[in-house]
Amino acid sequence: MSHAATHDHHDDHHGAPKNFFQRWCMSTNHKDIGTLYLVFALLMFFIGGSFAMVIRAELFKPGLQLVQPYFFNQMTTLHALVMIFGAIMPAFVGLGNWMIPLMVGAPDMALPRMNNLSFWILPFAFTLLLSTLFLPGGGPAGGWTMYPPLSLQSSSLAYVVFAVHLMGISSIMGAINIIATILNMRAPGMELLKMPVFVWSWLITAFLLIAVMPVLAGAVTMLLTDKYFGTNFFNPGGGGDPVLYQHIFWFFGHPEVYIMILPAFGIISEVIPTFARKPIFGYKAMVFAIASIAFLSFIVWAHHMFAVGLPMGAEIFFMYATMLIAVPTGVKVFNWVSTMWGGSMTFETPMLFAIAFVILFTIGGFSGLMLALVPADFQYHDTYFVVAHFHYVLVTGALFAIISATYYWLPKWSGRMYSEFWGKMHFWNSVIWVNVLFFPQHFLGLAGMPRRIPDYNVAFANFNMISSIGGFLFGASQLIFLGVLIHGVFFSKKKATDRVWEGAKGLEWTVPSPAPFHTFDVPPVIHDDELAHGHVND
Amino acid sequence: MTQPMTNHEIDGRRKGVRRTVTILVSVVVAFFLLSFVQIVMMK
Repeated sequence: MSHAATHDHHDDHHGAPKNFFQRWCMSTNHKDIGTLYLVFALLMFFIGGSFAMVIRAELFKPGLQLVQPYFFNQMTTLHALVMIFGAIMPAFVGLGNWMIPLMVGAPDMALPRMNNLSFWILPFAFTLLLSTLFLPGGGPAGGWTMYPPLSLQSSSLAYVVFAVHLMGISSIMGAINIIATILNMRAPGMELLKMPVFVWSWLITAFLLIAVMPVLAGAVTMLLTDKYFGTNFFNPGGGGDPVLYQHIFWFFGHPEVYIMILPAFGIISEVIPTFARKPIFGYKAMVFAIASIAFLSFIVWAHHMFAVGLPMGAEIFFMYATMLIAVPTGVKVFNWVSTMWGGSMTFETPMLFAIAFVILFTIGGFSGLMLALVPADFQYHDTYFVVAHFHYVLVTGALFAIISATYYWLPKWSGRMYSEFWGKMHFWNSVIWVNVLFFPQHFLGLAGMPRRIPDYNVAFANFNMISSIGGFLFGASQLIFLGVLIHGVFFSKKKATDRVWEGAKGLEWTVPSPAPFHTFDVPPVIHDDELAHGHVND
Repeated sequence: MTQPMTNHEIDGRRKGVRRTVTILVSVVVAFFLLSFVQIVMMK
């Protein structure tokens, strides 16, 4: 121990740069970059949400009301692309950036400059994507899956492909950074099986990103060369096959679904123990369940393609493999319930969103099981039942977890407490209207209403009207969230304590609130009592 | 409570980061190329 090193050769040790440009555009600080990601995700959430409002307004009544069908198709396509790549994924990366170094006792991310680049690629990618709306020919309208030959007819394909490449590069760099940080930058004594579940969930998610984002890049590159360079990867006229695109897209697309939900599992596994005042039930089982789900996500892709005419053996394999995912997912749900069981529970806003997550995500999981059944899927495929299913998974699942995490860690970030009253108002409005929005869509789908259409049979009118009312009010409820955030960050008079929540455990709660610009320049000593999940080896 | 790190440990971290990044970048390139190979072979 002769060369005790307390400095890491940086000259920026004391505080944030005063210059706005330097602080926010040239930042290498994980907390500032985390904030940038979160603000960007919030902006994209409202832009993607406004597209959803157009969709629901058009579907309020049968017949064409407000927009032309081609513009409607652009809205459904861009809503998905913006929400998936612009809102949900960057929000999780922002949370990871902020919290992973704090949770493992690292001074920053392993590659801080690359971290800056990962973020700053995104605004350019989305400017490129959204600019297509203002071009002659309009934006992409063939669905977010970009299936050929339809997507090849779009005049904006090159813009979309380049935007997707940029998003992919950003995600891959972010994933490399997270893996390098977790594997190399943990404080001595923070063994892998002592890490918080959120960190574990991100480690596994990052490996998924590394494996599948290059495949998406390959798929869209082939689309590009098919359209502009005379190749025939997916053109049957030249010996290609459009179904191959579907295989390769969903080899990316299904793990992508888990990329959007595994960090949510991690968040819920942090929030529930805090407000139940008990260590998480079955820590190791939780970690292994996440790893199992990640593995299974690679062998279920063709359940998105049951209706294209796969061989029977393949359909049966993909059906059973898909149903198998219910096992580790069930382990997680039962462990969350067991963590709450007998706990000394309180119901602050983050906990309310976490409980809503457990219940509503499970509903989304069950409708997923229904869709996994080949004969049933033949009926449900491409109907509103599928729309209801994945919105339960992604809105009441991923989005509710992100909101829960925001309320949970906001006092640590800003040093101020948000308004609990308005937080609860946000929760109750969200949870009521999101069900009014999406639950009737199950009935619409079962009755045969196809997805991605601007007009429909009058038989579907009532449920569509109810769904649209739910949509408008759910959208409006998110303005409460915006208000709570602005108040909680800038105006709240109530200062946050270091630990913030009585039952909170983990290294992030040992630093002051707001977290100083630099933390853990010298690694902390790890005490088992301080870990969220107690003594895991007992 | 903090625990100072030796220069040796800091060097170890640096090498570890470099090794991790090298391996992961190779995996990314391999998967990218694999997607083309897979399509060409299945055609």
